Amino acid sequence: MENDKVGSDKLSSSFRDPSGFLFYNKGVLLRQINLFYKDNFDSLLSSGLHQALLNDGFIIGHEEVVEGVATSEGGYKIIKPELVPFISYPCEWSFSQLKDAALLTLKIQKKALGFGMSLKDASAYNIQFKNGKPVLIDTLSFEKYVEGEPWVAYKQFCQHFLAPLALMSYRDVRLSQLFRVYIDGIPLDLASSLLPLKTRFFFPILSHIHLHAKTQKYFSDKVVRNKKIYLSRHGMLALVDSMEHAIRSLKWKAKDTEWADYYDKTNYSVRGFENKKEIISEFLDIIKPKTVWDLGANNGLFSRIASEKKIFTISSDVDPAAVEQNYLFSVDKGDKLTLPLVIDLCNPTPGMGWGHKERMSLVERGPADVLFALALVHHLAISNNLPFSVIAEFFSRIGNSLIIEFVPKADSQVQKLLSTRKDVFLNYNKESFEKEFCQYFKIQKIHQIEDSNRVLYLMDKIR
Amino acid sequence: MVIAVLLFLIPINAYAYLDPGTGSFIVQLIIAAIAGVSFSLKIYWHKIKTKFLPFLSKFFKREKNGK
Repeated sequence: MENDKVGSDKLSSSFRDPSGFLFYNKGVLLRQINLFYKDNFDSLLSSGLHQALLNDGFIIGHEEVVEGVATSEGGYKIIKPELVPFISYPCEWSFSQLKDAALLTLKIQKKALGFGMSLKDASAYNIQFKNGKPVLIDTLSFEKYVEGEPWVAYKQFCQHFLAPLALMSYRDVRLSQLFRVYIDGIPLDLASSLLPLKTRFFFPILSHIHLHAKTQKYFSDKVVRNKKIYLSRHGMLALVDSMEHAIRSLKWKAKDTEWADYYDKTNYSVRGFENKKEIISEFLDIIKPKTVWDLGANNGLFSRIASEKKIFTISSDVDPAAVEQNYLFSVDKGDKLTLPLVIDLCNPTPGMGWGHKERMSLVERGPADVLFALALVHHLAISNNLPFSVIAEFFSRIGNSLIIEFVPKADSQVQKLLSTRKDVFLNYNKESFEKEFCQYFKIQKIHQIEDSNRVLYLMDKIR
Repeated sequence: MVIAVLLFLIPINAYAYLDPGTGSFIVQLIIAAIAGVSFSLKIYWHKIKTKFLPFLSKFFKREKNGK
């Protein structure tokens, strides 16, 4: 590869870091390590920290690329990082996902200090989920630890983890959506003003958020002279321990939400419910996909039909309580192939950051081999006034095949949606549904669900 | 109040640009000083437990068997 080509294929997510950058070479994701970071990278390997983190499953692996790809100017080495199946963002995580990512970051910092190194970045975006567990994906996040120096990533950790978790726990779980506005985590003065009074009587939150916000403001136009700031190793460990205590103390229980007990309220008979599962399983056996995106997955009951067939499945829902239940269930059962995410299909994650390119939109992270849209279309068409044509067009952009359930107007769930509004949905019928979806998809199979008026379709995108 | 105390301990110059890192560094010192005490106690307690626990469990086991 030409040297200048390396630069031109840079991923926008890594352009801020002078230590190196990610780029694509012939469709393969590679990372250049710059000479600027040489000492730290060598120390990461020679100290044994990298191997220790690998042994614990805390970091992704990599292999050095010695042939075929030249480094660009200022380059030291090229490595090929191990891939994660899907890049997700903290605004898409449930409470426990963000909490587990926070605890992993602190475990890594503690381990790094033991090997004479320290995290220089504590970004939530550096953590991804692989095999059902959080893992650090940024190999360039470490620097040599110098005793006396404070933790440079401390503020970032508070903004990316402690502040959002405290807001979700003490105020409202939906405040995780502030990640969409603030790409470098939630400003501590904002978190401090939103948190309830009682958090001022809990030392870890008082100190790491409220006092931290005050000192930031106070010292914002002042510089401390003569290198008077000295944080001993013991002090550093005490600081990390205090943060770990703060994170562990934060709790949130998924209850009393719209969807949390959804499957107890459906109008399926036992036979109808089982038949629906059988049909989905049959459709999956026909397509043999590698990835499934289950849209409106609730607690992931149908996603598990796919994950049990060893298919990596994004199990998304707008309800943070349903996603929390889904995640905790997946962890409990050791389901390594289901990734629950909070996604509002009517307003999916946009491209964020500089030039809308630092973080990818949901569409950019697709398409999936198969989409599940089970008991979903009536919510989109009736509750959200979306015509079948625009639903079909969007689905054709994020999935190559579609397993979709049509719920007719006579269904009690649809009648419930119509009970509080005027029925202006004259085209909401099976014929119109099929006609509009056939603009973008070809119907492969149709199954009437037993003991039900609902219909399941298997469709392939028209290419 | 803690910040006011710090003003006397740390020489500070005022500049007309933002240095948001300084506040984060200062607060680390404050927290480390306070949390450092309980962290030390935690470490010593852990050491005591690991040193004496095998002895104590052996002792109680012997007592139980004796009965």
